[in-house]
Amino acid sequence: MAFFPLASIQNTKGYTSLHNFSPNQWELTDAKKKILWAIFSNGEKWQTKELATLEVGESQTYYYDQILPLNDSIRQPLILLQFRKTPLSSKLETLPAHEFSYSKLPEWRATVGFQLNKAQTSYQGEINPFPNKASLLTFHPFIQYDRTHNYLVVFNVENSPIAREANLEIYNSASKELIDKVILHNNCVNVIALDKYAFRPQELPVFVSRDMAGIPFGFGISHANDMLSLEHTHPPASFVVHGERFKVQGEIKKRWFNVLKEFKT
Amino acid sequence: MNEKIKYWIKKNVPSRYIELLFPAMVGVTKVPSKGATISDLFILRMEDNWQTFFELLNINQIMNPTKREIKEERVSFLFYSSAGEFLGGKEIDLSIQMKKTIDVNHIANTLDITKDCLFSIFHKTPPKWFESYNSFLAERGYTGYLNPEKGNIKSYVHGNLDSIAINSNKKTKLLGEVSLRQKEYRLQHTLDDNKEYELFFVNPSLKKQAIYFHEQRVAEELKTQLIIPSGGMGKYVKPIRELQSSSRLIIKSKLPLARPVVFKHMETSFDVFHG
Repeated sequence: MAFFPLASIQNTKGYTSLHNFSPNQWELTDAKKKILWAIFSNGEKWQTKELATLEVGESQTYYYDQILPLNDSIRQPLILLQFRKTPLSSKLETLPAHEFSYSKLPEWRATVGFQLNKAQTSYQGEINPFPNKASLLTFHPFIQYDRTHNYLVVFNVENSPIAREANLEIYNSASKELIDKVILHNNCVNVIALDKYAFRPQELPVFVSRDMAGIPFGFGISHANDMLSLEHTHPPASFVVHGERFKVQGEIKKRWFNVLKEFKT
Repeated sequence: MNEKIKYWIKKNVPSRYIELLFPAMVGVTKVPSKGATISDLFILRMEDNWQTFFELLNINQIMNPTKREIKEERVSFLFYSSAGEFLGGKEIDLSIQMKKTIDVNHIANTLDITKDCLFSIFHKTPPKWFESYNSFLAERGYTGYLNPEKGNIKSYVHGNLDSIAINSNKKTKLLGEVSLRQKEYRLQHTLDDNKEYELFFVNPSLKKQAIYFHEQRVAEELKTQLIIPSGGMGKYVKPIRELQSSSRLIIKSKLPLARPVVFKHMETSFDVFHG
């Protein structure tokens, strides 16, 4: 079971709708009243806030700015929402364990969304903390070339609240040319504007972080601010199914990391 | 459990027997025969001014980036009606590049297809090195939908099910399992009264499936039913209701994972996502 993310991206209003009912009837889950908590890092400690109690069958929506102010700083904390039985201390050194049983097929998810004017976009999501030794390799095949501002967004969560940074390298996947390096922040919503790189429609940018993992998304805002587009970008494991697919993922990652190492500087 | 033992069980023991013994162990898809390649069944929207695009990637180069030269890659687009009937196919060259945006409506038009339907994509020369891991290449990439009457940019959604396979003899096989008992898929997304939603369901199993919809509101429950033929698709529409409330949807069927592709329509835009 995971936490549910609540994020803010650019000038959109981030929201997350949580549901206190299982997505299926056949896995053993806890059909009980649940207390909702928000947890976010200030760079040193996890800070916590009790939000509400959800009765069985109830759904509730929270907006990012109900919990944290939107700011222009580089570190925009990712808010984690968690269902709990017991209260949390106001400050924590590590993320708290989960207290309920949840489904696996599908995973128990929240609606993680963004809204701008009359437009909304969302995905059904959850997030687990990544090991701080983990890495990231992803491709972004759906940059839009017409009337759209494009961004790569990376959500990161680690067990430790201590702030750290890692490089995200951006390459052209055909020429293997290093295009740029940007900084990723742990426990944050990382937003990277892509239009300045002027990728062409037949190009496939590849993004590599050797020292930080995350969930990457392609995010689009129409120039007229009247439509939003969001979808997560695939890890290489998505190209294969069955068998030892995560070993295949490891092999693909190793191949890309090695070949891009030659082009790193 | 060891991954190899799990794989052997999944490949060799019918999922209904496993479910009979262990009700919480439900198989979603079958493992195809060795050497097969897999695809999702993607939704092609072309009625009512919808345009559908697919972001086709050079899988060989992604799987083997050490190759200096990017080679041409050929793929087959196969189309199926909403009743699951084969409508036609077309081979496409992914010329020497990493990515090509395919106008799927254009391909469908060349086959005289004019109705919303399903398509699959099979790579003709998939890399083989991962077969030693008992894995299969699966095309579950990104479909972009555009409709100038409903919004001015595309909304993308990725494939999420290994629905159909093609073997070395070019025979296709649906991979979807059927549960022993009826399963509920309770959509964890609130349906707003002031928005229209279209929910598309694909039946990747070998049998037609009855799908029962229970749209629950505070004071009422609306029930409807849909029969989806094997390999076909169906649509549930939640219209705009002149109320200021919302509803939740429970989907009952023998599909182990009746997860819809949801089109949510707003005043100036639309959004597509997996439910």
